[in-house]
Amino acid sequence: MKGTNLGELEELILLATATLYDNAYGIAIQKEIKAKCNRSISISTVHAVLARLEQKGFMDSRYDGMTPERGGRRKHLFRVSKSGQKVLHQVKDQRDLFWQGIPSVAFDK
Amino acid sequence: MKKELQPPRWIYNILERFCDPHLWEGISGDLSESFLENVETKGKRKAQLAYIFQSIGFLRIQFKKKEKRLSNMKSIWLNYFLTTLRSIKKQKALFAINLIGLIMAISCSLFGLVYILDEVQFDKQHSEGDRTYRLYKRYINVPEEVDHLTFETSGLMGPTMQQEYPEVVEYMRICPWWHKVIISFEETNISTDNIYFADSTFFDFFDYEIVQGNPATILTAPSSIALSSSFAKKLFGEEDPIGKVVVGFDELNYTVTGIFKDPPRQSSLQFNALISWSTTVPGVGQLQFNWMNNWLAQGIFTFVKLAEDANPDAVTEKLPEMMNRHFEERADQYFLKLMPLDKMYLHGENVRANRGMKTGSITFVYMLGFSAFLIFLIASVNYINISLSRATQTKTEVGIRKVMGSSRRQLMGRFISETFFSTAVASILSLLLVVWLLPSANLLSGKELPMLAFFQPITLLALAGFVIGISLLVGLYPALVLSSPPISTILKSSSGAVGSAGWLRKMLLALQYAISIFLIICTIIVIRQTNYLENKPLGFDKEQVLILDVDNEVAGKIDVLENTLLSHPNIQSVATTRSTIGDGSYSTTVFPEGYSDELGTRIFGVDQEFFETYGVKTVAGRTFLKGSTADSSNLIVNKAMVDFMGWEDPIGKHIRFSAGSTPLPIIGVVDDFHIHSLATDQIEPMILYLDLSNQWYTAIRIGNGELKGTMDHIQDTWDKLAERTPMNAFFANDWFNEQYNKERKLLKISTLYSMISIILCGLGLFGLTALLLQQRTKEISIRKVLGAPILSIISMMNRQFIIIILISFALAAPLSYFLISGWLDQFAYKTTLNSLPFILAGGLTLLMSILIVSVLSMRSASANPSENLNTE
Repeated sequence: MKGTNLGELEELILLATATLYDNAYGIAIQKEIKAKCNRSISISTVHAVLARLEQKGFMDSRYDGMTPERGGRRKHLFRVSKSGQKVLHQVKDQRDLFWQGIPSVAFDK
Repeated sequence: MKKELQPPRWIYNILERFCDPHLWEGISGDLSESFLENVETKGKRKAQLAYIFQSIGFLRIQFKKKEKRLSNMKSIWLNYFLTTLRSIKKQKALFAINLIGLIMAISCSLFGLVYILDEVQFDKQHSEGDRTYRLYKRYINVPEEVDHLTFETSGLMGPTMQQEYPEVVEYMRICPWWHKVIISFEETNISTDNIYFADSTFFDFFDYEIVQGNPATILTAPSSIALSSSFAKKLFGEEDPIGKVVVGFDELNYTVTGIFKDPPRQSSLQFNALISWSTTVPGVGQLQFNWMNNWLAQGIFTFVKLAEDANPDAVTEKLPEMMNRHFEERADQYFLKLMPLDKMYLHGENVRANRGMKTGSITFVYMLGFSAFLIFLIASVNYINISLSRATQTKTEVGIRKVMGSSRRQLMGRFISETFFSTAVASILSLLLVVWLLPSANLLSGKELPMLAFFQPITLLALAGFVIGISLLVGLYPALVLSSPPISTILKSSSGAVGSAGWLRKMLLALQYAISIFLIICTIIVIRQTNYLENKPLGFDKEQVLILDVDNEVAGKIDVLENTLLSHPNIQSVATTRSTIGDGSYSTTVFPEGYSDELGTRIFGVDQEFFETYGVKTVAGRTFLKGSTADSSNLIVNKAMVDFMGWEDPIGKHIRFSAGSTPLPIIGVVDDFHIHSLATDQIEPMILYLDLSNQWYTAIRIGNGELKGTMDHIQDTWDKLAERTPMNAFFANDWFNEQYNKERKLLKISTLYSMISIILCGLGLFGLTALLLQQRTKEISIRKVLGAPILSIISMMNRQFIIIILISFALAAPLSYFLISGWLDQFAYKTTLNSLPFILAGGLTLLMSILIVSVLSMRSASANPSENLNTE
């Protein structure tokens, strides 16, 4: 199991990357998480998690998309890799399994 | 991008150097994108701040450049460290010698440095101290051969200076009292060691902290008294002291107007009570001390504050003119000068009459600094010497390192790292050692250095500077010398051919020995001088004489006191006099028979029992008759007086005290006796007269019986007679010994330093000889095989060292003679300077060196030569 375990922040960033699909780089991911979950994560933390995920093989990255506001530098773009997709599914399945197992009386409406 | 929209460049550069280049483009791009957005939403300043914080966030290991070159350097340094450890392991004795030497030297120098720093910081706490000056004067009196500096000034000097010279903005006078004063509140009596009369401007001049009371008016009203907080606490406990009336000076009432914090340790002025000056002004205060407020009397201290742009020298130049107008009779004797406030602690040591104040000694500071520096020099030389010899041994290693492609810089690094390691270890250990030994060092030097003084930035900086400095120095030489010749020479040559630096080593050794011999000579002479001062006969019997201060409430009961004391079998004699050693006598001019001019003499008031009690011997005539006042207009003089006048038969000669007064006859001559420190005062011509009205001191001659019982009897007698005053008593010999505290302190420090210097020299010589013998093992073995006796080998090894020591002696002896005779000259009485200290110092050093070298060479000479020659 070890190695396939995802941290909560790692999971969020993986999901955000997947959502952004072709434009997933540091600032964009930071903003996406801010917009969806109202969480402020420092840009260096985003980069650190991205680097870690890439190291674990859950992400692929490339350089592309130069814009003037970046001072002529390309974006470091990320995409969820095959094993990344697999681990995301795994997490979702585990959660679903639990959700299905919760008896309807457990949560009072 | 517009220029004003640039993020801070410096942090950008730092980050660029730090980050992995692969990640860098993405990181910097994101940073500037976020920066631009922030500029628009939050403004430029906040955006820049955010940029800096974000950038700092990226300084993580994950983003760090992964350098291949760096890891190589790391292993090189690791290798240096390993080699260092190995060489230490290989030559444990040498390393220990080095380390011990370094620790001793660094500790000594460190202590010296901190001591000096502490002394220099005295009196620096006052905010306007840079334009505050203390008045002092040079007192010249040609006929009486008086020429000295003194802090004593008249009460009117300060006020007149302020009135007449615009440069003098303010003046302030203090008069530390000569004796202890008892201050009482209700049932509590406490004696102050330091009570000052002070002008109302006292707290304008000095930044002593006021805890209670109005700073502007504390010392304004007559009969005001201000107390230190610790003193007030003892006197009043928890009560509020302000406005309370206490009984103090002269049994009069004083109102407490203020409480100040106890003066800090690094302050010359040390006082626990201040009485307002107005108390002493005739017509204003209750004390009516005319002498504190006129021109004639000299006994108070004056401080002045100058305008900000005033030149103190220009003010000093105007003072003779002031003296001429106001105090003409002394204008040709008193030459006023100004001393900067922060100089008075150290530079006031040769200015007399600095009573009631803490004083330092600039001479001692120089001597300590000089000795510490010399010790330091010896240890550095030791270290360099041994390292140099070692460096020539390691040249195979250097050669191989060069073959492997080591650069000159890397070679330097190899030696530097080794030195750095041992000096850093030694420094840390020394710091710990000094802090550990601090209580005993404080005891030795009579100073209260706090532990924190050793962790001042400047001290730590000096240590770091030393470590780096000596590392570079020691590292530089082998790196330069051994890395310049072709590698083949280094690897091929036999020992001593390349970079042995024989002459340099010998010169350094000579320097070291010269320093050590110098220190030993000086120490021996300091010991002799101190012994001389302590043991020179004083002209009276100083043992077993106890002197009581009776100028207080006991004054009216002297008869009872004397009789009760005499009832004890072990008390042989009691005398109550105005004058005693160190106090109660005064100088004045008299007109002796057969002398055309006035003669400055010391006037000494005694009673009939004085001569027996003090053990002063009569040389001619008789002393005052006991139980009679018949001699009240007869005089006794000392031998110095007779010698000065050249009287053949002094008995019956007459002396007048002023030009028109009755001539009084001399009835006896006594032996010269000392009443002042032998260090500073010569015997003066002295006149003793019968004074039964001023009873200031009671001297008790105690017999050889049991001392404890006698002392108890004296204490009991005192307690029966005195209600408020504690007994203040001192033994005559203790008083004299206390006068030489300065010399004793110097003696202790110089003994310690010279001992350390000789140990360091010995250690250095030991290390050097051991190395030399190692290098010459084969030579010695071959000599032996060819039939040389052990003795000839030993003498061969000794020869060069003896020559070096002789050269050092030739260097050190004249230098120390020159310096130490200068030191001796400042004493009124000094020991004779003969050749003994020089012979002793030289001989001792020579003996020690011969011993070390002989023992070491004997060991290697008696080894089996076949074993040594076998190794190849």
